[in-house]
Amino acid sequence: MSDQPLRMAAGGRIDRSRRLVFHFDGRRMAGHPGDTLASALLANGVRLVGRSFKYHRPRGILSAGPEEPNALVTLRSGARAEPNTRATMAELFDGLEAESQHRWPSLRFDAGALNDVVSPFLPAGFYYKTFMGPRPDTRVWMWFEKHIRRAAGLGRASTAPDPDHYAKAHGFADVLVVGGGPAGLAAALAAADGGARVVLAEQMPALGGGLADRWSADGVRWLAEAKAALAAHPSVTVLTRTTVAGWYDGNVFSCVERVADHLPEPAPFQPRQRLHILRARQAVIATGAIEQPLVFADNDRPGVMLAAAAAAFPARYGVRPGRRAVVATTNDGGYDSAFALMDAGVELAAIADSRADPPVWARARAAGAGVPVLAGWTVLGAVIGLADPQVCAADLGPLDGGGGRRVACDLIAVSGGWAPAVHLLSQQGNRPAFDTERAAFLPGPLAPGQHAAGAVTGHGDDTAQCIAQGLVAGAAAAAAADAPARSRVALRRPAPLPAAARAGVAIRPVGEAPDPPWGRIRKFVDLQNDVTVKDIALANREGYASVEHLKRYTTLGMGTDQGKTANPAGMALLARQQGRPVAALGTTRFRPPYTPVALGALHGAEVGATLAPVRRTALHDRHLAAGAVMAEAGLWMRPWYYPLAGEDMDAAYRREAAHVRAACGIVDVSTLGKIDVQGPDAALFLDRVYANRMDTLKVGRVRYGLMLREDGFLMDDGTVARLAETQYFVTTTTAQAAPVLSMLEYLLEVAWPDLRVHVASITDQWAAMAVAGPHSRAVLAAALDGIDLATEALGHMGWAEGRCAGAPVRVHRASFSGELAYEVFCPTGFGEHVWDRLMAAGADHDLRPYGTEAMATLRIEKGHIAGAEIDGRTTAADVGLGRMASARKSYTGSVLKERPDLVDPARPRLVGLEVVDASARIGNGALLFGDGDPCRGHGLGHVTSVTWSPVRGRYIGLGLLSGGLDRLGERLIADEPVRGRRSLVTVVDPVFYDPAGEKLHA
Amino acid sequence: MLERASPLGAASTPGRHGAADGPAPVLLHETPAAALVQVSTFPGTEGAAAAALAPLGLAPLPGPGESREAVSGTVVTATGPGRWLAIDLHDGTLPVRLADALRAETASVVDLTHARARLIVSGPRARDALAKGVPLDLSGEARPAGSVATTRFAHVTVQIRVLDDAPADPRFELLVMSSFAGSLWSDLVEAAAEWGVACRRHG
Repeated sequence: MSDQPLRMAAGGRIDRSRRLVFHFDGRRMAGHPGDTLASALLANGVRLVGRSFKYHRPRGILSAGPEEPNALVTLRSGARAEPNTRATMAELFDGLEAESQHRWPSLRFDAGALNDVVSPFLPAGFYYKTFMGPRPDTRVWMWFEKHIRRAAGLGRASTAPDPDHYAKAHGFADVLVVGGGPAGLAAALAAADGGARVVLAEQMPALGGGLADRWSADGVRWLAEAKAALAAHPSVTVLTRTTVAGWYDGNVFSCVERVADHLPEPAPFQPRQRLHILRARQAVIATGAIEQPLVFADNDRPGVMLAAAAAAFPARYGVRPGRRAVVATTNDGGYDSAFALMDAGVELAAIADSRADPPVWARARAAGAGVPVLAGWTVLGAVIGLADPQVCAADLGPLDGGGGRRVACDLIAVSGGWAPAVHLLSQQGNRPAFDTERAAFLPGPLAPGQHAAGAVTGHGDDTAQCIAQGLVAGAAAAAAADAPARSRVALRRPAPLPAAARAGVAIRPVGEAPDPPWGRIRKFVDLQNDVTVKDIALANREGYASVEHLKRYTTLGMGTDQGKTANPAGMALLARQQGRPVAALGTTRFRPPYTPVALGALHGAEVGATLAPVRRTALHDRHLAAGAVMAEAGLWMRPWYYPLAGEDMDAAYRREAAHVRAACGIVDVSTLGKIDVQGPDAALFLDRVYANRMDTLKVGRVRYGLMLREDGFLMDDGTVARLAETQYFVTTTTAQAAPVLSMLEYLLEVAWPDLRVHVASITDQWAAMAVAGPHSRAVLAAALDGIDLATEALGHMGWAEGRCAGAPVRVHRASFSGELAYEVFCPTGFGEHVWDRLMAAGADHDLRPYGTEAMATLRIEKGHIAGAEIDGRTTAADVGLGRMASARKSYTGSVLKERPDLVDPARPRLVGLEVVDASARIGNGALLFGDGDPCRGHGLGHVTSVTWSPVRGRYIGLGLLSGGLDRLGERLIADEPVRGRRSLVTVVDPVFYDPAGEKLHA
Repeated sequence: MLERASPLGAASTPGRHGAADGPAPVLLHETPAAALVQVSTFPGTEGAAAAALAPLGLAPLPGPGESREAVSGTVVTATGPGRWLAIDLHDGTLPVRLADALRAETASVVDLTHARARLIVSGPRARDALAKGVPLDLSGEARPAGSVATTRFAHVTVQIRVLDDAPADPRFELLVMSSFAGSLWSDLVEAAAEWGVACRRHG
């Protein structure tokens, strides 16, 4: 095992007493708790960690945080393998496995690097122009696309099911503070002090932000006091490892908490990630700023690093990012980083400052350490070793031309200034404005509810001011949140830091560094997408002059990092191409998420079997006990069929259906929608919503009803029982229960608010079972008390109340099967009780349960319509029920059902169909064509419902056929191109069984 | 004696689920009410309804988002404009008594006793477990004891009443449609598994 050659003996927030073993590309190495994968790799001297997207260039670690464009690895293995993970954000755990990506056969020898050699021929837009643009035939592009996609792209996702689970959490706060740096901590303190309920979200594992990366006695003290004060406050919730990914209208925030990503795997029952859906009254944006790189020749080489990141590795992890460094800066901040590196034991070879007049304090400190400060200079190029694609020297030179100097080093630390992290504000429509003095886009005017503090406002160079801003913003947010009166806890505020003894901001942007002496080499603007200075010039030449077009043409700012270290330079270079100020160009608008979000966090617990809730009837367990095969019907679970030993579905349902006709069956119909309609105007109301008369229905009777939509199409059918003068019991189909209820509520609220009627869903109040077949009266007679079942007392479409072994029941004599049949309703909690009693009473009469498949057989044989016929495109007349619609009243849909297209005689109308050859089979959806006609197009209609009919001894069906029963007796072809089947059918009456209705009136 | 069966079904198993260290931070108990009755007034009849309910001790009717325990064990919850759900924990005759008290011109009365399951969620982590699916602020500040809301847990509609708003040990009553009860039960068990949940069924 290697010995972590770049690990410092002391320093950093790591636990040196414990060693963690990890593997990178199979190589075994060690780190410590507190490391990231990036810091542990650097400690072990590993700097080549990936290959670039397009040119397969060797890449290293640029940053120490979420902005990382280069160091993307596949973390973990097997089902937990996660591609494109930033090594700078992956916390080290024992046994961690990581693989570099996008290289073959190995990271060091990558065949795809050929792209780098031919890169002059691969400018932006190359693939599209070459393979897609000039050719009209998309097949050519589709062929090439496969191969291009294989060569490009980053990691590969696992296709195995995700073994982890994810959770959501609805959260509420008066004030959300985004960012746990000094400004955010101060804002949280002040907001809590102002009485607000505060949530503070910090994306890193530890609070402190930049303050924690710069060692100072004052800073350490302040941070400790601030953290203690927040921890002690009862109305503050601090979420670390939590990225605020999106800010949506109404101050809704999506915050992704990485609950267990720092562990080898989540503890039992622990979610891997938690998506906080946080509603906050006010938000304080203290998201800081992101340091920007410099654009120079070969600036993508491993060993080129952002200066503050280079300084953060010793401060956080006790790791030297190199042994000998050159620092190139455009601003004072680069000196802080340079001296921090020096303090950490990194040899400082030179500091190049783009400005002509570096600050006196910095010159003095450098001179004291014997470090040359090169004023007005910058880095022109990174030099790599012959055998090793890592930085071995930097070519430095004056910005304004003239001779340069090569300085040996293994680290080029660069600071091109700071870009405020305005992303969240931008998501909410804030238009960042370019500040020339700071050479950065700062937040534009803030909307109500929005506050900003710290480096995001451009004051990252002055910690004391960040804290002061945070205190002001936090107090203002608390006041504006108008939090409910809450006992305030007097906070001990941390003593403020001494103000920075520096004069103002001064930055000299470099733009594109002059070429090094060795010629025009690629200078990268967007490292993740391999966008170079040349690409931006090309885009501009080709007319992609706006920043949004530039992004889409070159891919600048796309990918997993969304250009966090690329956009500012890209904008500046485009502006220079056009000879305009950056301010005139603007910046692209940011969209959620701020950083990549795992899909698991979005679906949360709603996955697999828990994707949607399940509805169970009161008889669910009885069906399972009877061996039923269950089927989904919307959210409901219904018994499909009850197979006997050795039976398949076909055998079972045919037996069940035949048994109902021969003896007696019972089916669970609890899923039917049931609606209580109550009030003095209930009769009037129902008369307006049903196409047939309802006001004439007498108490004690049941009537079949048709409901139309306002547009005249059929909406639903069902039964209406009048329980009392002012109360009705309405049933709907299972599928339309909710739409019917909401239509009724809508009509009562909006159309007829004057009607004194209420509707209420009572589907869950009543269990229902249909007992059908010649023996059904005998079964009920044995099972029920207090009901006279004689036809004279309880005729077809009547109802009566009684008891079943003590439980109250109401019996509707109604039939869907065509047999003598009763629907037995009882309160849900007595469902099993009544079922058991009916089954016991039915034992002498051969009562057996049947499922929905047999139920469909029976209703098709009887020509009853169901969901397949009421498909939203049929009228009452289409399904043969046109004469039910009353002509003597108006009702919902009565006007629009008379539209010309709805009364067109050529409309497909309901028919029965029967296969000619008894051994033939037809299926739902089969298209109908005239016998001898070519089977092309939509045909004359289609088959809606199919079953094998015990009565007819063959397959029969219902269909919608142009001409309808005018074609009675015609032979048609039922064509099923998808199933590859074609059968001859005869058009017959849709009522296959007992057309006179003698059975159900028996 | 005719017993009402639980709508939870055999799949909803009692006992300890999820993390198993120490006392369960979430308790999930099925505790059915003896009666649940929905009362809806018509425009202008609210006063008449309140007057008719006064002899039963159920007036005044609570305002939006509130509930009132009029008689011990009998609670009236406001569930919508002109709409209340009366809960009687002990007396199953409430539907009849209400129907007798209220004329058809005054209000509609719907017996929903069998249409809802009643679950009690309590314990130090009850709020966290509910927060996984309920998009409402259940803090004591936002919803003190007695508050009522018709909302959802994930995709399932629930009516929540705050029984106890103690910060460290709250209790919530959840009324859910009977057919969804088993689904909600398993969703709640899964939501609370992270901390551990002790489940008890009625009977």
